Amino acid sequence: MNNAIEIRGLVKAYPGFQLGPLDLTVPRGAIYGLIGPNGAGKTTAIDMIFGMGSNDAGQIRVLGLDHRSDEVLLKRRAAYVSPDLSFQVWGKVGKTIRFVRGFYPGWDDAYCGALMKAFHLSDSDRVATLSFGARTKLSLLLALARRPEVLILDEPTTGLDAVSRQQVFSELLKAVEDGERTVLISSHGLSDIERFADHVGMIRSGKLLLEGRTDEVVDRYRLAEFFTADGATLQSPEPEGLIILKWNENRWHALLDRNSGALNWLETNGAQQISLTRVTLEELFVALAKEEEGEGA
Amino acid sequence: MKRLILDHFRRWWWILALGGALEFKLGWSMAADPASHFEFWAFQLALWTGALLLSMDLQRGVARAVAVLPLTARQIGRGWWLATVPAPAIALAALLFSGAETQFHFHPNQVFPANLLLMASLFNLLWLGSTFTTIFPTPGFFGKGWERLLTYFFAALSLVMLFGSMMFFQDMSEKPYKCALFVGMGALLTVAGWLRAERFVVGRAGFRLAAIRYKDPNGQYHAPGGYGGIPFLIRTTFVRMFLWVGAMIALMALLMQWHAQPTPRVVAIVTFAGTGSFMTCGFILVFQLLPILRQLRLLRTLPISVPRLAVVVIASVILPLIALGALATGVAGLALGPQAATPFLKSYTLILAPASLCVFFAVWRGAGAQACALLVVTLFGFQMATLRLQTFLHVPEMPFSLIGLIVAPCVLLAFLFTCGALRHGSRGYRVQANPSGNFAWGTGR
Repeated sequence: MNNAIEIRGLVKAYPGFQLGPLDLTVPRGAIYGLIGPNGAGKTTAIDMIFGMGSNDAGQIRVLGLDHRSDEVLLKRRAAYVSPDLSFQVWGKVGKTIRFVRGFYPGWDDAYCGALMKAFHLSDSDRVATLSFGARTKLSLLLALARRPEVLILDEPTTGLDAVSRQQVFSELLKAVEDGERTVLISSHGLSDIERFADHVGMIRSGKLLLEGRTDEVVDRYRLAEFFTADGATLQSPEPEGLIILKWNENRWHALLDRNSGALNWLETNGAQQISLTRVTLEELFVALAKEEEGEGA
Repeated sequence: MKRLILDHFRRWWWILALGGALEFKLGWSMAADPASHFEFWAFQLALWTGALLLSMDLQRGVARAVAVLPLTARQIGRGWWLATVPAPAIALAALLFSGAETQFHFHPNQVFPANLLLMASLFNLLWLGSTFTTIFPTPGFFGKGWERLLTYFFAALSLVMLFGSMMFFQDMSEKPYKCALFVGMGALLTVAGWLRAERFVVGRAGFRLAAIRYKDPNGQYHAPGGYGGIPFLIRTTFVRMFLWVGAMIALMALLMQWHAQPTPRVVAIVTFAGTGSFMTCGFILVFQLLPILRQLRLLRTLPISVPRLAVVVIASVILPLIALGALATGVAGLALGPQAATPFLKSYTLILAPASLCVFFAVWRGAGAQACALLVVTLFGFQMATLRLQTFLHVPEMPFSLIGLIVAPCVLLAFLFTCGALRHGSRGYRVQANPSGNFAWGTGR
């Protein structure tokens, strides 16, 4: 079994929004970045893995375990991190740890202590007085110290400063360095995802738009700048794989999928002086999100 | 300040309108039968049209949002005080008198209970003021030393005032001095709310920043000894709730003793058992269940099966009720004889039915305003249905067999429905506001 998480045909419908049908594959040992605009369905998909709501169709398997029938076993081996988790009922950090620790016989106290130091947390800290970032760190600490095989993080870097973000990713890298652990991270910190995630999936309006190795996904796309003759416009509609970002008279900027026939199409449809430059994940994300806005409009 | 007050009314108009309609009905009932006990209902209406609404707003972060507007903290605090204390008090008084007047219009031969209505209106104002002073601050999170001490003092004083005033509600003419004591307490709390409102706003809007300064920046960890997990959750919450509610019941008993009401002993015992179990249940639901539900997202990510989680959530409410019921029954039996113990046993057993159903509603709808409304409707609806059933069966007390027939299916249904809500629902996992808020009675310290 090479995949840590396999989601097949997942569907969850709400009034005004439908997630899926969604297929997602997270290879074992990978750091997988799940990205997408707000309201794309990232949190809903992650919630489904942990049984927070039932799916209308489809299957979710984590480490080969079905998310419904093997729920407890799955949760013993997978951990969830989110700033949304509330620990306030425990009052203090130490009591929160004691509670969660009780579920995991393999809890690593030494590692927990090291993380407490790294994250500047203490047993006696009141949960209610923790900053937003510190609460996220506590959530991450509670997940990491149980040494899970799969770590699923929903917006873990929200509210974290640059140093803390670096710390979080550094701990995540340490967690996966043995090649056995897997991380699925949903985040809007695209530069971080590009730097740390070796796999990426982009979800939009509940559908998976693209998925693959981060370097391959980024390499597949190019920002194209080209010119057309004065007064000439491009033939409409544009082909699959070409997203016009902006134009000014006869100067055009577009996102181009190198695996599609968009480049040939441009060359045969009057585009001149075509120059291609590499895109960053953020540029790719913005371009694809803009396409959605255009569709919406 | 005016905009702030209007904004409060604009957002909560539906609850205020409902409360107003019920207050009108209360006025009608008080005119129809002035000898009946209305204090509990009057208090509930004052609670739900006042600080409880503000508390829900505060939980949703309104203090921080409003603090950045071009208003001083004093203006914000006093604006909210005006919106939740005198404004509803005046409206409730007007509606109470209107209801009574309307009833009197149709039945002019009766005596118009002006004194009782005035008393109710006065206590409405004091209850609104007291709950504002109690609910608004966050004793665990801001203030140190005397400031925190003062907050706890006001919280304790509020409890005494609220229980005491309900007992002495109709006794102004018979026990003027005792009654005046509670009026004084209420007045003190109401004025304190006006004077301290500014500090409450500052505390609510920026308590985290204030508290972070005391944090140890080096990080410390001592591996915890003993068990953790679900037993730890049950133990922690159970002990806390048991002590809090136990103290509350003891306070009620002391006040009742001091009240020395002239009602027959059996009636007094049955009333006390019924009120005690009802209030215990309400208290546990608000200050124990709702905070636990806010952790539901965390609990659901832990390796616990759905049935076990359902049992845990239901047990978090039922176990303290059973323990407190056993304690109350035991104390009553030892102090007053076995016959006095029976009403307590029956009352605390019967309350398990609505309590378990309330757990399902809260898990299903999440710990927000909808769930709170459902809990109130369930609790009151069950009480009224029980009374109707007793009247229908012509029995002064429910027999044990009937109680068993009601409680067992309710608990079983609650368990099954809660499992379903945990499995299929998603609303309960969203973090929502709850009226107990950050008030530290039910949450960990």
